[in-house]
Amino acid sequence: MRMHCFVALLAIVPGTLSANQLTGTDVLAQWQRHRIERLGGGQASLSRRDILGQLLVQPSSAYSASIDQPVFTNEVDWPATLASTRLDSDVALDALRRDLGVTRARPRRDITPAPGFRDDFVAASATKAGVDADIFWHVLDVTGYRHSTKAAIYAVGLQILRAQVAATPPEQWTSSGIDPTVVTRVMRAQHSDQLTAYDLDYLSTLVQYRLIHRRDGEAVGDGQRSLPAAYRVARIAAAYRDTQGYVGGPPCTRDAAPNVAVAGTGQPDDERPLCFVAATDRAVHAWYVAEYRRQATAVSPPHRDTGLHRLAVAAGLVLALIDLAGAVEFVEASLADDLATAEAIGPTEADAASEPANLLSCPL
Amino acid sequence: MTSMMRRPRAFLSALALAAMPWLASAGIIEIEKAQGTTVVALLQGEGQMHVDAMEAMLLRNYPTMYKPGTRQFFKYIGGRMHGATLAHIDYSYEMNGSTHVRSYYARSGRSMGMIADLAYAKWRRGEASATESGDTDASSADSGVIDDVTRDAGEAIFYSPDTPAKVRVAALPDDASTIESVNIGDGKSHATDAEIKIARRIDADIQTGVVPGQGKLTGYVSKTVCESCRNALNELAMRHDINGTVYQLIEPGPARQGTATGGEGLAEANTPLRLSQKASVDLKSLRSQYATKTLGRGIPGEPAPGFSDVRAIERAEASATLPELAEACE
Repeated sequence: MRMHCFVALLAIVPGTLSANQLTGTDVLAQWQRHRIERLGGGQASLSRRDILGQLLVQPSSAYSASIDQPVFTNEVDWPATLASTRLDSDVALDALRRDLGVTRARPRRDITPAPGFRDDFVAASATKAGVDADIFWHVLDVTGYRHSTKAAIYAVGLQILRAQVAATPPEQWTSSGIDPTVVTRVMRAQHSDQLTAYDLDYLSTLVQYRLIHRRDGEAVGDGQRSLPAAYRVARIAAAYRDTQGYVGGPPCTRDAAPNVAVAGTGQPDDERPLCFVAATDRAVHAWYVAEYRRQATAVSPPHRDTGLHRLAVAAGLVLALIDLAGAVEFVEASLADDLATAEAIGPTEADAASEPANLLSCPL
Repeated sequence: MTSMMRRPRAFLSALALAAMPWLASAGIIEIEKAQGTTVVALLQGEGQMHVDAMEAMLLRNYPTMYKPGTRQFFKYIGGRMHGATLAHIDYSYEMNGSTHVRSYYARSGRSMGMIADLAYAKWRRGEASATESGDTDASSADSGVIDDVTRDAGEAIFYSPDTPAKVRVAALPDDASTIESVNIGDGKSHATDAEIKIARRIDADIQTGVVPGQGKLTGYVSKTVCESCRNALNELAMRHDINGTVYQLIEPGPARQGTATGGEGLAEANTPLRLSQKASVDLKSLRSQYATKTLGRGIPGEPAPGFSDVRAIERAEASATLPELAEACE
């Protein structure tokens, strides 16, 4: 009887969740699995344009709203996805949108800003990235605005590590490769020269792993559904940019809409900062990649054996992965061929197909 | 009975102390099970460095193999790379009132050039099998080891430069360290095991004053630490009064591989053994995917992103320009 109640509760609970509370369910992977089962690996791929065209009202706009009911929800794979995830369509769609980077960060509409960030827009971006205020400010203090795009990587790395430390019993820290002293040392550093190569390398590795081995639906420290790591980094960098203020006027209006005269459009030839909270994660990510390059060329190369040099090297390892994370990866070509050849596709293979580690080259 | 047993043992211990004075300050290295995504992240990242280095070496030294009909050559090499044992050992020590950490990482097996030579010979003979892959720990003979040591050292150019904090460990010449692999009765040489390479390198670093003894060692190994490696680590610990723990990932046995990824009850799934097996399976899958993608097709393509680009990034940072990165997919 008790078990029946538990199972019934499980069946009900997902439908009552919002997407950012939904953890442990990779909607994209499930959807992809059903597409592969129906169409075969060779036919299941969707191009970025196809997916974004179905999800966004204006796919070419950095500030696009989402389409309420994408066309693919009328295909047979979607009900199958809902059945296997036991989610309501709205919740599953929200999770998919979040994982694919088409959601925004407008305070109190998209995000409830956490305290400690001094500014609503900064708070909204940082909260969406799931980074605590103390980490956010400390990393910026140590690295400075001129290196804020690199700082964002370490802020996210520190948060990942803090979450791991909190989620893992102390007696399992070492066997799990979790080194809490890295958090302590970095948070105590007063200057970038006090950041050790070991600590920066460690944090870089954590972020790189999250970029390659993306686990959509993974919970962050507060139990919320984590944003993909590339978007977390980009959102933190955007929040850092907002903390600087804007000489020519803010790119956002007070109600978190883009100030058309000032806000960047996100087009390749437009270097102006976006109204970040009104922009999609994908647009913020695109801005981040460009901004990283701009910062790298704007400052003198750091001398070797300095903290800034160590900062640059370890962060640079992450950049290439972040750059590629903008693609909506689906089924990588050769793997799809292999799957189609194998005819029978089990859950393991379908999981492998959805594994972004496979997807560092272009999909079909 | 017991006291009679103890006497010869005590005598042998005294003899050992006389012959090996470092035993008087012996440290202990424990071997435990590793688990969790961070261990996988650490070893996967370093595994990619080895694969990327191999790709760079092949592009430079075997450019003519990038042509149709050489798939088995690359497949063999890919199998060797993702089948190799990976070891990462942090050696921490106190100096001038602060703690320093020097990380050592190594891959089991011979030099990249030797692996490629063997692959080439097999390809020429048409012997490369599509199913052939696996650990390179146990070479069947020691022939060519000396040449291999030289080649291995020279292949440092394909890796990011060593720093005081992170060192790629190649096999060392015999005279660099007296720590040796021991015959464990399997008829194979374990001189190129990843853990032994690192134990010998730490020993050499201590002898040459790069790092002091009496430090602490924390290591992670992608497979079960073999008996020969345990002996080498113990010898290092005893010789330099080093304490620490090496955490090993446990590979599921053939009959249990299917259950390691799921299907077990919750209680059993949370045992250290099962968690270690799960991490092992995750790591193996990621390494296999990366090696296959990078090497398996024999297609020289875009430089591998991410872990591989240390030198490119360093050059870029030094010249204040960033490298050309692969275009995002459309």
